[in-house]
Amino acid sequence: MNGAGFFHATRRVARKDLLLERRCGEVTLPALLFGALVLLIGAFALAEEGEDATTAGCATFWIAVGLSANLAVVRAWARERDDGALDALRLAPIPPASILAGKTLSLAASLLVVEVALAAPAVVFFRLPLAPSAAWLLPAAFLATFGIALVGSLFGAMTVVGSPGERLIGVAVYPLLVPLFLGVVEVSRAALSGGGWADVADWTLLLGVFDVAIGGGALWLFGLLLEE
Amino acid sequence: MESSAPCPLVLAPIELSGVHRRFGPVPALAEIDLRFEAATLTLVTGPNGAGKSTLLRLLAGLLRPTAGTIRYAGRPAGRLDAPAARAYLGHPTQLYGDLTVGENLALAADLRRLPRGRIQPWLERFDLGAVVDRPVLACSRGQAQRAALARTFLGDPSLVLLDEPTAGLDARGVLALRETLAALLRRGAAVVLATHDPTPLAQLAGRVVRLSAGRLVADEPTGGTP
Repeated sequence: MNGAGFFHATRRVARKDLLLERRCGEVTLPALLFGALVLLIGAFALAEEGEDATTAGCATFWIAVGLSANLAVVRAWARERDDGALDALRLAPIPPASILAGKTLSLAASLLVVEVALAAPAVVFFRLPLAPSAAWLLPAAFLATFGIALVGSLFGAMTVVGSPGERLIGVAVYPLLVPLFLGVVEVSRAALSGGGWADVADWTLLLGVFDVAIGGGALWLFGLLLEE
Repeated sequence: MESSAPCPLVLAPIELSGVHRRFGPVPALAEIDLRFEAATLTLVTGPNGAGKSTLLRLLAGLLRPTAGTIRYAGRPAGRLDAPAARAYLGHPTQLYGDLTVGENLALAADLRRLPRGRIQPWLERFDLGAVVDRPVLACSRGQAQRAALARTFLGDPSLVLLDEPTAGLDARGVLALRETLAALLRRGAAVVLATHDPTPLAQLAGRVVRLSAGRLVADEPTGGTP
């Protein structure tokens, strides 16, 4: 199948997930509620009155997003396991990688909704400064969200396919997220504190490189994973 | 629906040579040598745990043999570039419960790049008109099974693999399935059907294969015709 086939199938898989999500909200809603809870607990523990809580706020926000993503991933892949739906996708004449790509896109959309919804309470709870330079955060946030969705989708696929022993291997993909979270927290802190593009450029570039490298690896690994 | 033209991509004969499949330490199939011909319905029978479902999943390409080879029309499984020619329906319906019957079929058609117009005849064949806008979760077991069968046949398959396909079907559903399989057999498709109860489709069967504890214990022609 050619590239057009890949993009067609990716779009269709993502559209299916988004339709299911619009109808049931079973991925986004629990993730959002869980993320809000993490944010609230973080605010009580870390936001001291009269002190600059920008760093704590940025870190707590992305921890909340990361933990929410874990919940979202499990829910998003459970629907493929229920009633053997993944078998039907595997037997369709589409590149296996398009299944992962489609699910990554839909998961990223759900995570963006969670992030937008959590942003306002994070600003309030941690009294985050909203400097005009905060806009520099957006490219990094998009890249980080895509990276989390990508690694999360690969982990989710591992929980659905393979033997129980092989499913445990899925946990090994989590450390891949360390540079991503370091990068996006650093960009968030710098952008919200009034830093310019020069202050966030290196980390943003790193996030882009991370997405490309991990993306290529994940798409390749997913094909192998399906060959039980 | 199905035309009278030969299947576009015939995958038969399918030859299994020395096939073993283990799940961890548990052997599911051992020393299987079989050949499935075009235009023939093969019934695979045997008690629970005989390896029927594993055999079908191997033929579908959803599992790989632990040892041995499977060849489709002389080509090894890994070289196949047309999974659309294989249709497999196992015990689960493989449908999304929160999507309607119509949305599930539309998804299958879109992924195969088939025109949506191909769906309607299958809805009629399996009497799904009344439930087309109903979520699968709200359908009865029999309705969901008919929807799953409609989705399975949508891609004009030349190799059909069905695991207990009559489960939950009423007499009309079984008749629709029998007519569909007969038409596919006339066009040259190979059909492999695992079942505990061969009665409803026995008249189509050209051959019966019996498995027990993962081993082939009988392989006999029956003389059935489509």
